[in-house]
Formats: sequence, structure tokens, C-alpha cells
Amino acid sequence: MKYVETENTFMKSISALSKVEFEHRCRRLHNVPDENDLSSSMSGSHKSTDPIPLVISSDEWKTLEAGVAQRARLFNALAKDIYGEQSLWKKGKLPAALLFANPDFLQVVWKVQPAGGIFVNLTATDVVRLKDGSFVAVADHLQVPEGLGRALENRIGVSRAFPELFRSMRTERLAIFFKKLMDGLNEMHNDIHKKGESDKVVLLASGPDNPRRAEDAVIARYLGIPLVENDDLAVRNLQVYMKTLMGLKKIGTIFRRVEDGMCDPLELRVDSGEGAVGLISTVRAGNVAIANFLGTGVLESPMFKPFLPEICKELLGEELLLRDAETVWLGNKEDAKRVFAESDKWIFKKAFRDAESSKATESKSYSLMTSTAQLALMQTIEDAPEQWIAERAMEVATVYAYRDPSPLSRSESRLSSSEKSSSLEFTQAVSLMRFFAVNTKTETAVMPGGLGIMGKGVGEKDIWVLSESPVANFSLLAPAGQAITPSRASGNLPSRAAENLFRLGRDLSASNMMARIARGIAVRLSDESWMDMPELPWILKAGLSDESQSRLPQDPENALRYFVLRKENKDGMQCVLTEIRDLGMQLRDRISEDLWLYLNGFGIAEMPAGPGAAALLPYLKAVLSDSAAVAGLAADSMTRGHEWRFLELGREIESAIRTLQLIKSLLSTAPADEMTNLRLLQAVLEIGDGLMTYHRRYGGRLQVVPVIDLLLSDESNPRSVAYQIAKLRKASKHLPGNNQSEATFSPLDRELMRVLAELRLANIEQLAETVNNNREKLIKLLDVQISSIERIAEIVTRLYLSHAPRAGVIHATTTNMSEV
Amino acid sequence: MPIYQIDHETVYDYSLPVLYSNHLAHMLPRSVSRQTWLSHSIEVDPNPTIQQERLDIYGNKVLAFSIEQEHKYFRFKTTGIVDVQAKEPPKPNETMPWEQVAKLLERPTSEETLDAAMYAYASPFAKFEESVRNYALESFEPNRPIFDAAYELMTRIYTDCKYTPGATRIGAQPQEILRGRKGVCQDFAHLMIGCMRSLHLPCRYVSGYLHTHPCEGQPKLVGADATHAWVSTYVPGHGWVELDPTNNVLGGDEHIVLAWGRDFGDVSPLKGVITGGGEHTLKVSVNVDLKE
Repeated sequence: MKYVETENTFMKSISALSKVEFEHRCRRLHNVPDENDLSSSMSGSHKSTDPIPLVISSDEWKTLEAGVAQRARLFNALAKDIYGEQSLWKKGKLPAALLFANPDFLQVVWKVQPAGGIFVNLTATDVVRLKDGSFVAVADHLQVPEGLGRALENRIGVSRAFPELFRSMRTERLAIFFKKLMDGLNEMHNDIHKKGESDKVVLLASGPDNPRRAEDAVIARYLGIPLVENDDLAVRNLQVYMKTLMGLKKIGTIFRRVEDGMCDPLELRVDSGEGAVGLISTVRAGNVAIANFLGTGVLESPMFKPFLPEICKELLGEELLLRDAETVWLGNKEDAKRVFAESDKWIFKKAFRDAESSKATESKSYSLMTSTAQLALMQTIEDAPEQWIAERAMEVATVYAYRDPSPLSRSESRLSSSEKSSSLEFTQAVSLMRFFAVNTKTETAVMPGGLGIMGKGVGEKDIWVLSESPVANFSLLAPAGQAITPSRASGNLPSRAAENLFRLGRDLSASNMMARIARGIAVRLSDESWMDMPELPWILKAGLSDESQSRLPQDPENALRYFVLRKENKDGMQCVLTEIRDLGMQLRDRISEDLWLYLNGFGIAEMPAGPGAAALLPYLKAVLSDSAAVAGLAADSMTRGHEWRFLELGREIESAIRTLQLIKSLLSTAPADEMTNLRLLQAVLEIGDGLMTYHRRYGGRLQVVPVIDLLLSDESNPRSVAYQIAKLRKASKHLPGNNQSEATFSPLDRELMRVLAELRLANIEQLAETVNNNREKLIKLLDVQISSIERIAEIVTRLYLSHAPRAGVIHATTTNMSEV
Repeated sequence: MPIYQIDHETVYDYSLPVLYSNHLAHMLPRSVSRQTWLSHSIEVDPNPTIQQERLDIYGNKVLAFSIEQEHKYFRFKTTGIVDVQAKEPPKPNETMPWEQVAKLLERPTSEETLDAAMYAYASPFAKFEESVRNYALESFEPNRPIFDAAYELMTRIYTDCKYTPGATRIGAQPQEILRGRKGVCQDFAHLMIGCMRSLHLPCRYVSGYLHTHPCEGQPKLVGADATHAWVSTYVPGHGWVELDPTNNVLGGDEHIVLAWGRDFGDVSPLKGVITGGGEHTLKVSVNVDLKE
């Protein structure tokens, strides 16, 4: 069956839906990608998944599958030759420039053997369909193929939107492919470590700022392997370890999502901070497997394209099945002449990646350039023709798409109304198809599906491959034939993840208190008589950072807005909220989807529209309810392991400190005027969230002693400092290495007991005493408490979270540095 | 055929303890046709936790090691005795025209030419730039024999550039050196490499030592008792010929070879990545003594 027919089958079924129903289903689809939006929180751009999948018949798939699989085998064989015998070059089959002018040829891994002999474990091949129906490969991604996670997410979304079509059309499932990928990774380190060692497979992600990071978290979670960053790794004794709370854990296989050059600052780029120092030595010693193998970036140069048919014959003894777009290397003078004779039929591209930037090579379509630009391009090419290739412009076929695919693709054409089979409107768009393949020791498998890419900012598509026979259900989530022993262990928590959870806990408490104080101020300022409120200066002082206050001393309303809303205020609330969202992103592989959702949208709903303090109130309320939702979700969904514990530690420490500071700001002085005093007590209860409890216990009479007692030492009040410390102590008992025998106490425990005893023994009547309107004893206790709790935070950081300082490169010897 | 004793010591002192460090040394003896090592020893202090020796793609012996205990200093000392000869250079006008050399290496057909081709393209410290090629073309006139042109290029670099320690940073690009017209031996070598590679001619960066004479009226050669750098180019039918643009001489029996690569980055004598350490001070001392 031809593509057009399968597409028509799908379109016919879709068109049977009413517009309302169709749009309803699109919402179902977009719920998923929006929740899981892989790019929005990183780059601000919005990815959209087109509801119409690319549908490929089983006949066509057989051709494509064989072609993609062959390319996967071919590139693996090519890498083996490049980093081994270089037989293709010794026989004079290929220009030397292909290797030696290519900045991605990694000299340092020459002759290093990968585990199991596999250089290219995962490949991605971009294919287009031409107007004549044939398929052509346009690019291969062979070091860190992107899009696998996005393909997975698009599939979840689109199959959710059209479940009955998905089943009735017998669409192949993707899960089995991920199992094969995982089997391959496991097989690699079994190869190295023989048996008996329970080594880990980890996914090495690039930093949280990398746009690929979100996808990496999706893949790690789907494969069930830990996501690690450079800071999680330590190389000792020619082994790679993961730093965890329980100490160093040996790593068997690294599924790397970090570019070649960035893996080891000792032997690769000096500024390569994303891998580990000494990683290459351990790879060379055969102590760790790495997929894809280092140096595979060399294969991505489009300069290989004109030579692939010959390379394929030479290395595999086969004809190349899936052809490339016609490509010419301009380093060959005769070929270049042929190209320049009809320049407007070609697209010019750099043959190699710029060594400095990891940016993809730019392509220049000659016919679309101005004549000045054409001249300049020809001059540049003439200077270094071996750095350029030309690719013949192609007539690419279009596919149906639901949304208007933007002005980018001019070749699209709206269907005329007579062709419209319903009130739904579809357009035609150009889409690239990215197919993934995995090489293992026993087979090469192609993912039956893929990622449709309609161009930058236009959108993505799911790809459905139809099966001739009924599709078997398979899920990674339930591996058959293997009984899992129940366990209560929380696994090996990397120190970095523990630190992120600890920081998240602190930020959550901080944002909560900031919002409560800000609300206290906003409520008062919305009252017309705020000028007459004697307690306002105290609350302003409690809430607003010095910077906010000093900027606008005469204008409390603007000071408040500056504190609540301005991102550039580094003591302001937005900084904390931004960090919460960032931490959510970094912790994505460790927390539930729901929790992640809340963190991702933390503090961005209900942004105030108009001026005035009252306009801030709905926003502050939203921040407080986000904070309550996160606390509730965390309590409901996190097992009480170390992850939970570090989140709690952070929350309690910050909450205790903030409450102590609140009491200090509002109660350390006792103004002579009784009215002010009462209003201050009212305010501290209101912001400290104790008003209800107080009224229930003591009625409406406000007095300083019971107020201090309630907020400071009442262990039955969950907002009190003593309650936080007691909880802190309970949680700390389960920290690794902190559960000593009854007879001895760890330094952390001793500090906690001291703080708690001080609170329990405090004489509140005495604390309330004033000297010259100052509550000296209270101030003293609060100061001691604040510094003790800060010390506790330091102990936790030092014991569990501190990372060794970053490594730096030293170049011992430059010539003539010596003075003999 | 002089015999030299070479003592080369590098000492780092750190203001704070280094927790662990990884190092890479390109200082193991490399035997070449005109040079034989009679003895060689290495001392590393503190003792490395892990030490590995390997051959790199350029044929150098590389020593990779880590020190995984806390240390406040690091000392690396090599002592070697080497027998060095000068090699008869080819007759300039009998060498192959340079265009033919470039053509020969475009699609190598032997191990030898494939090896030479490795040094014929831009590398991280020697990138392509138009001004550098124009400078090179003044010597590389059409059909000129490669060695004749290369010798003239060496002399022009020697004449045009002023030896000025501290004028350039490590790893300055050829066009920067050409613009500034000053630098140290590393820069002179990189400029010559950049020139020849811009024409796709093979040119290696050679790292090693230079023996210098005590100054008895003779001009003291620059680079005295320090590590030194020069270049080497491939002349088909003859082999590799060493040229020292810092001193305007051919590599002879006073040039002792340690290692070679495409540029400084491939053969940095000793580099490392340390964790911790604070500030550091570095002392390097090199002695090249004529034994007989």
C-alpha cells in the first residue's frame, strides 16, 4: 500500500469526526504535551504536536526499516574502521580530509576498543519523502541522537487522542524498542564486568540549561535508570563512580547525552565540564562502557554522504539501500566545477561542524540568496573548498497537518474547499521523519515509529507504522518472567539530587513565609486608612528585604510590588519562585509527574493585572495554594526514603528560621502605646498562621506570653519553631550514618537536642519582659536559635551534600617558563 | 654524535591541599632515527595511585597518572641520556614541487602518506586564515620544490618576527602571531605550521629540548635550557625534515626530540586537572648538558 492510501484511510476516519469532537480530542492530546512540554520551561518556545500522525504502511515500512537498519550497521562499521585500521584510507578509497580536516575526529580514542565492539549503539536517521514517492536520507545523528524522548511523548499524546484508530489501524508499539536499547546497555557492562557485580547503568545528562535536558529526564525515567550529571561522577582508581548518600557506587555503563568533546577536560576540550576528569582513561582501561562510544561525532559530517555507497560496498559487502540526497564534496575540483555550472540547483553546507560551537551546520540555498550573498559565498567556498559540500535541492512531498504550519514552509497549499471532506480544515506541510535504530551484539533493531519534524517552531508529528498482523501488547513497565523481590530501600540517591531536594524544601518554606508576609502587607495597604496603621512599619521591615525598602522608603506599595514581582530583586520572591521551577526541572526524573507539574507552574498563575496593593492579593493567594498543593502532593506521593527526608529537612530548617525572624521583627520591641502592641500581636499571629488556634484557646484577648508560646515552643502547633525542630530531629535519625546507638549522639543530633531543649526550657514570662521597651531576653534567645539552626543546615550540607570543589586545568609546561 | 644528559624538573606548590589530580605527560623518551636514548628515568612525587603508559596516534609514549590522596605539592622529574645525530637534509632543489606533495596527500594510498596527511589540515591551535596563506604563498611560488620554499618560509618567519617572551598567550593562533610579529618558540612553530597547512602541506609540531653553548663570544641560541618547539615537514622520497624557525636552523644534533603532534595541544609536556589546591606556584628547571 502506498503512503497516500494509508494517509487517506486515516484522514477519512478523522474526517468522520465532528469539528467539536476533533477539537476536544486535540485538547486531550495537548494536555499531555503541555504538561510534559519538553521545551517551554527551558527556552520559552512552545512545542506543538500535530494531531495528525504520519502513517506508514507495512510494505513501505519494510523498505524503510531495512534501510535505516543498514545505515546503523554501516556507521558502526565505519566508526570501527576510522578508530582502528583506517583501511578505507590506506586503500585510497577516501580523501584524507574526511578524517583529518574533521574536527570531530577524536585522536585520543584511536585504537580504543568499545565494550562488545559496538561504537554506535543508538542512531537517528532523518528521512524525507520526495514527490516521486521515494525516500531519501538527509542526515544521521550518531553521537547523541535527539528526539527519542519527544517521539515517546508525542506517541502518548496522539494515541490518547485517537485510541480507537490507533488500535484499529494496528499501529506498532514503541516499548519493545526501548527494551532492546536497555538490553543493549545492560549487555555492554556485563561484557566488561563479567558477573557478580551489580553495576549500574546511568544516563549522563548535560547541565540543566541544555535544551535536551528535559528529554533526557523522560528517557531516564522510561528506561528506569538514574540520570546523573558531571557533579555526580567521581573517577577513582580507574573506575567511574556515582556519588550517593551511601558513598561511591560503581558505574558499569554510561548512556551519555553529552557531546564527544565535553566528556573529559583532561584529554578533550579544556572547558569540557559535562563529563568527568579521567573518564577516557577508564574507558581505555575497559572499566566502563560508554554509549554511544566516544568519537562517533565524526560520522555526522555530511562529507561522508557522497562516499557512502562505496563505503557500504567495502565494509558490509552490500548495496546501500537508503540513498542520500545527491551530495558533492567541493574539495574535489572536477565535481565542484559541475556544481558551480548550475549553482542555483544546489544547497551549500559546511562539511564539518565548527570546532568552537556545537551548532549544526548552516545550509545556504543558492537560489534564495541575493547576488551579493552569492558572490560572498562563492568566495568563502573558494578559500577552503574542502570545508564545503553541495546538496541538490529536492522536491519534498507534503503531508496533512492540522494546524497552519506557519509561513516557514512556503510549499504548503491549502486544500480547496471542494477537497474538504468535512468542516475541519487541514493543510499540507513538509515533514522530516526521524527514525531510530539500536545496535546490540545480536541484532540491529529499528523503532517502528519515530519523530516527525515539520521545521523549527512549526511542530512535530507522531509516526505510526502499521502492522500486517495484530499487534502484541508489550510494556517496559512489566518485564515478564522475572520476579521482583519487594524492597523498602530508596535506592542510591545521588548527592546532587539530595542537595536539590534540600534546596527545594528550603525554597518552598521561604516562598510560603514571603507570601504570607506580603499578604499581610497587601491586606493592610488595600485599606484606605493604611496611613493610620501603627503596625505597618514593623511588618514592612519583617517582610521586605533591605533593598526593596531602601529603594522606595516613602512608597510602601511600590516597595511591596518590587519585592513580590520584580525578577531583578535578588532578595525578592520571584528569585525563590524561579529557583523552585528550576529545581523542579532538575528533579524531574525523581518526582512524580503531578508534583513536577505543580513545581513547573509554581507561582506563575494569577499574575496581578492592575495597579494597587489589592491586585496582588489573588496572586499571593495562588502562591500560597501552590505551596500547599506541593506540600500535600509530596506528602502523599513520596515514599519516606531519603528523597522525602531531604525535602523535609530543608522545609523545616527554613521554616524554623523564618518563624524566628518573624517573631524577632514584630515582637522584639514593645511600643509604649497599647494599641500598637495589640496590633503587632495580631499581625504576628496572622502571618505566623496561629490566629485560629489562639482564638480557640484564649478567646479574643491578645497577650504577649501566650502568643510567644504558641509560635515558639508549643510542640502541638505545626507552625511553631519547636514543632519544626522536633520533626527535624525525627527525620535526621534516619539519615545515613546518623542512627548511632543510644549511648552516643552524632554532632547533628547533639545540635538538634540543644536547640530543642533551649526552646522547651525557655521561660516565656521572662522572655516577655521589657527593658526600655525592648525584650532583650527574647532577642537573645531568638539570635542564638537562628544561628544554631543555621549551623544545623551547615552540618547537613557538610555531611551529605557538599561536593568537592570543581576541578581546574593546569598546563604545567609552556616553553620558556623556566628561569634556570 | 653528541651525547647529552637532560634533567627536567617540574614542581607545583599549592596554597591549599589538592584532593586529587589527574595528569598527562608527553615526556617519555621517543626514539627516532637520528636519536637513541641510552637511559631514562622518571620520578613522580607523591606516588601516583594509578599510572598507565600508552602510545598515542602520533606514536608518542604518553604517561597518564592520578594522585588520589591529598597533596600540597607535586614534583615530576625526568632524567635521560640521549645520543643525537644530525640528519643529512635533502637538496632543496631536488625535492618535489609543493603542489604535487599536496596532491599526493589528498588521497593517501600508503601508511606513510596517510600518516603525513594527518598533519596537513587545520588543528585547534593552527586554524586556517586567509592572511596566513597569503604570507605563505610569498615563498610557495608555483612549482617551487617544497623544501626550498619551506626553508625560505622559515627564514622569513625568523626575520619578520621578534623573539619576545611574554608577548603572547599560550596557544595564540597563527594569524595573531602574524599580526603581532612577535612571540616565543611555540608561536614561531605555530605560525609556520599555519602557513604550510593553509596549503595542505604536512607540518608537525615538535616538542623537545635545545642544547645551547655557554656564551663565549658566540651568540647564545634562544630557548636556552628550556623546553623548545620547532616543526617538521614531510618531503616525499626523503622523509621528515626538521626546521627551527625560532633560530633559523634545521633541526640538528642539538635538537633533542620528545614528542610531536599537530600542534602544542597534542603534546603539552605536562598537563593536569586538579581538584582543590587554591593558588599554585610553578617552577620548571631544565638542564641539557653535553656529556661527550
